[in-house]
Amino acid sequence: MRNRTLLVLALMAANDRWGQPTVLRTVLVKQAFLAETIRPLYRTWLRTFEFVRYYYGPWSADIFKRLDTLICNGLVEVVKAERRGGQMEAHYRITPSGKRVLARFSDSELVPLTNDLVWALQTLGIEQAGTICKLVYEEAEFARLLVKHQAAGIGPESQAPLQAVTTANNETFTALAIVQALVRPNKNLPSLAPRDVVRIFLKSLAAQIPSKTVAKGVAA
Amino acid sequence: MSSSLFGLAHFATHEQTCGAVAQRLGFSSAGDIERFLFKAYGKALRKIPAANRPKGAIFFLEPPAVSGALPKEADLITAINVIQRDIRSKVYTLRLDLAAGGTAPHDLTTEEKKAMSANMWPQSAAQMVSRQEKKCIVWVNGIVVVAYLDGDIYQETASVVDELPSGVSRAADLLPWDDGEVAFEFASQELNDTSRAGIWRVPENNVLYSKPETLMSRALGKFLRTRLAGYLQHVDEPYIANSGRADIVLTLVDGRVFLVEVKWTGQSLSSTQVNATADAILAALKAKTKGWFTTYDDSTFDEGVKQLKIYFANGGYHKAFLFVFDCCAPSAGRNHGDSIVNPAHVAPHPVSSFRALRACVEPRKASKVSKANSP
Repeated sequence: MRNRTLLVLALMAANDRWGQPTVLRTVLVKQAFLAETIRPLYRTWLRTFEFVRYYYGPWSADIFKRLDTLICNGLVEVVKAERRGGQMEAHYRITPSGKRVLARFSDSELVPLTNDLVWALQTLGIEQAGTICKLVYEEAEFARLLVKHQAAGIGPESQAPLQAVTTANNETFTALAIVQALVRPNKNLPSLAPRDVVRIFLKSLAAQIPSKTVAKGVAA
Repeated sequence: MSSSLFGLAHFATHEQTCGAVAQRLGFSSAGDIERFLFKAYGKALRKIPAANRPKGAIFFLEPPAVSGALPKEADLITAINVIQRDIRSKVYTLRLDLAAGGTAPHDLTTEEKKAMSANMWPQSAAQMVSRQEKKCIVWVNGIVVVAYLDGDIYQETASVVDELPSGVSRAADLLPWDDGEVAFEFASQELNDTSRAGIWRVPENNVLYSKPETLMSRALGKFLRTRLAGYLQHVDEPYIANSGRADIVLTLVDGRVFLVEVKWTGQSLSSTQVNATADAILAALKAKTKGWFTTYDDSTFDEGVKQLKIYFANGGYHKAFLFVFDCCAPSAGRNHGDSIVNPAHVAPHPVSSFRALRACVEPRKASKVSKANSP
């Protein structure tokens, strides 16, 4: 199984593991983006998905190809599908076969990565698609691109590619490295588990969400 | 950078500090508490009519029987309703997954009920109980939730039923170092605690426990760790070559290193009388019995500055601070402020490298009223 397919399956399993068995399509895409963002914490150097700026934030068509493969093989199932405002919104769930297959890849770093990510999102109360969209809009490189595009009048339809987190001078990579350095154990305090580092990173994103966006929702 | 270095440092320090306490209490991570609050408690609360939600209620939180497990919504709604119903008579302990029957009640004593006001627990009482019991306690009022870990605020949210951004911890608003003036906040918010966890032996008569400087120094370190903007680390009683032990060496995230010496003025119980009853202490106070009390006056400032100079001479510090906590009975003109440092006491170092501050402490329970009225 390729890295990208494994990531999607692992995300489905992680949501199931933490009591959220059905996953909305939009939520899955944003979780995949965050997983791609935090992978340096898990020393995963191979890029998973290549994202572009699209409506409602980072997007990758490749995720749906992988999802289709998983569905065709009976590892993931569609629980509900509906068209909302011209957009297809589906809910997916991992099947027992999917869990069995994933168990064969238990040594992959993507398994703890996705488990920790979904857990960390839950500790911040992030469940709705709108909320996770707000969060990913604050990822430093995406936010920077958005500002640049707004100044240049470039819209989301252009599908401009987003740089990988491991690209030189990537601000998020620097922030992750700083957090890791800050939580090193010292005489008074123990070190934190990777999932807590993920939580700190997500909190730092959440802290930047302007309070005005709570009522307004997310814009493209 | 989008996330400021100070912001990241705050989140990291807060999580590391609270994480250590949470683990000591048996939680796998402090995040488990937040997950319970937002994913389970907040959701359950949405199903309870606003009029029936807990008002000024408290409950203890304990680790789940099964790691990562959360309670069923219906069970939690029942537990929340019971907590509110019995607010005047019981305090419940909840496991995160409501295992083992879910709740364990503690019948309130008459003395404990006195801490309540208008059938509600004030936040200050919740904090005090958490500090005394060294447990995780949650104070809930409608959709507002404050979680305390061993007496420190871990999570404070204005609405536990909403998702971000109100779900982000506003706990422990950051305080600037402000050239050492954070000591005033510490004196007003922490040292006024008259519970057993505080520094006061007989608060009504301004008598401190024996050797209060140790208690103050440790509490200051803890306070800085959780409240100071830009905090990176501190070391309690570091050995300084050929000079003895300073009280605190504080390092900020921007690389500045400060030396902090803690002193106090007022009176403490003598170390030979630590087992004396309150009545015996009062009698000794009245009779002015010798050997019962240790007293320090304003000469402490000069002594402290001279001591700081010796430590400072070892180099490596950006500035040295003397915090003198004034624990004397209130009097006219007694106020927070600077004490002038005599250049002769710190020569050959520049006097600008030293600052001596008087921070006044009143032995009252932490509350908005006492904070507003504190000197």
